Amino acid sequence: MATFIINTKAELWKCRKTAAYWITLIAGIFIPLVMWLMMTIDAKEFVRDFGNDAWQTLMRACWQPTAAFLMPMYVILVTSLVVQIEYRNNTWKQVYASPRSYADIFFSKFLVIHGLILTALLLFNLSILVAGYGANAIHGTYKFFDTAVPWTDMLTVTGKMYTAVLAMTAIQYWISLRFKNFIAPIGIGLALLITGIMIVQWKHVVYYPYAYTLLTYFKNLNKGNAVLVHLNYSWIWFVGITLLAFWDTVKRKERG
Amino acid sequence: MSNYIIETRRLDFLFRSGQPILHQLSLQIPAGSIYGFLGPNGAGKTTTLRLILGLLKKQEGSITLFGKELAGHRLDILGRLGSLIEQPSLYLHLSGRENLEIFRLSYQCPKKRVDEVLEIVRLKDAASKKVKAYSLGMKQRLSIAIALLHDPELLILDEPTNGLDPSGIIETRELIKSLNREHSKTIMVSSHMLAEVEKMATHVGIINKGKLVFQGALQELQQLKSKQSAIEIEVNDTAKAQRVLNGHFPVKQINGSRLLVDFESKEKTALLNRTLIQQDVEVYQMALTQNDLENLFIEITSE
Repeated sequence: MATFIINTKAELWKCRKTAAYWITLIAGIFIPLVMWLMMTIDAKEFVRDFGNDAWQTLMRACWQPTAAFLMPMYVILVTSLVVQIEYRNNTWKQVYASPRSYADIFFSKFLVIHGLILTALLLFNLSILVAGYGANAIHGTYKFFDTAVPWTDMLTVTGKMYTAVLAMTAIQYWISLRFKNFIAPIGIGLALLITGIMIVQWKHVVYYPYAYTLLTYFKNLNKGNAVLVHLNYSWIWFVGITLLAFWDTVKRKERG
Repeated sequence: MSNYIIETRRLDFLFRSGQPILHQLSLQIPAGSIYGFLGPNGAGKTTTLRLILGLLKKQEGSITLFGKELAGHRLDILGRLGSLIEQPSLYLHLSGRENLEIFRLSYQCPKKRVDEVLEIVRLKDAASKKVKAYSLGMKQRLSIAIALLHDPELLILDEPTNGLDPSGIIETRELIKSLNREHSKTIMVSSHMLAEVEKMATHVGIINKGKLVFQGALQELQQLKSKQSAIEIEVNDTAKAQRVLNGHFPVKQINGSRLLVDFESKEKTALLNRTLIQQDVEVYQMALTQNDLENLFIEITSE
């Protein structure tokens, strides 16, 4: 276990100064930053819109584009970018020729991807807070200082959205491991995501992983747990595909 | 336990297309040797090394390292060897030191090893530069530094001088020799250049079209080489020259105005020259033919 933790740290170091890092930062702050700019420039209009429900309104404004497209897109990109570090530098062979078990190699990288996704979510929430307080500091008419931050809601939405992307992470990870070409996992991911947006009204959409962020945020978020059945399917996909992808890694005839 | 650090027995390998790459390859790399693994491009050298490192799944035959089967002891074996396969595998966006740090974590060796290996490959001054800015020679040296991090008993280096300029080639060769002598490493190094291998190897294995055509100490190869060497003589009358030499010096081949005769010794060559001149054959040129790897292959494989 200690070896696994050390190797996960090594895997994280490999991502330093790469696009995977930068995209995580952008994914975390972009939307709240845009919101902050709009709230600062057009304060009058936004103060009226936000009213006394400032935090909830701001959270909604930030989550809507994120859930619809940006978050799944980020997951597709970051997964491909992390795996691509090895392909681009021709380093898979060096990784597999070092004394590391296949499980260690497979899961440490996967863990790093999840670490980056969670970092992006954390940054996203922090940026929402900074955007709200920041706009309020400039324009005293906002009610961000006067209303309590809805911590529970923040945590719940974040937790549900993270669960919603679990299935995608496993599928995208497997595809990224399988294709040397960077375009393949991104192209396939994007095609599957667009299909998800198209079929979101379909009654069987709960089985389709690339629609889960949309389903979570727009259709079911405030309707209790019973209607979030697709999140259970997200777990099933996640565990199933992760195991399949790992089995595929172990059984591969050629590495690096 | 045998005295071989690496031993393969009857290794066969087919590509997915069914094309055979290796055929009954039985390598024996003695402990403490520099084993030159020679062969032209496409002979199967890299495939063999990848099999030995477990990067390719074995099909037929057996692979033993340090007296243990690779299949059942992968982690233990990989922990005792360092490798460099084909082009350098380095994280170009990181510095030399950061690259070493990453592998240091995987090999779990003390921090001071990073400076030690940088010293060995003489890259200390460039350690904080991004690898992207390194020359090919520096990248090769950094790759060797990574292979040395955990102070392994065995190094497997695939064409480490490939693409280097002459001074880079000499540097790498000297490094390999000193690692063997001063740090007592067993080194398996592949190359397609006989001259290169001759300058550093103690043992040689020659592979051609997936088959091992020679294996033994360097001296054995040198003896074989001199046995296979020939003198090329340009004369005015090849028919007459052949008659004169008949019985004393068997003529192997005639190409236009040139005869090819087995080389035996310098003295014999002088005698050959004298014989021809005494019998009124005009000798325009006499030279020991360069026996490069390709010729040697032809000689060895035609036996």
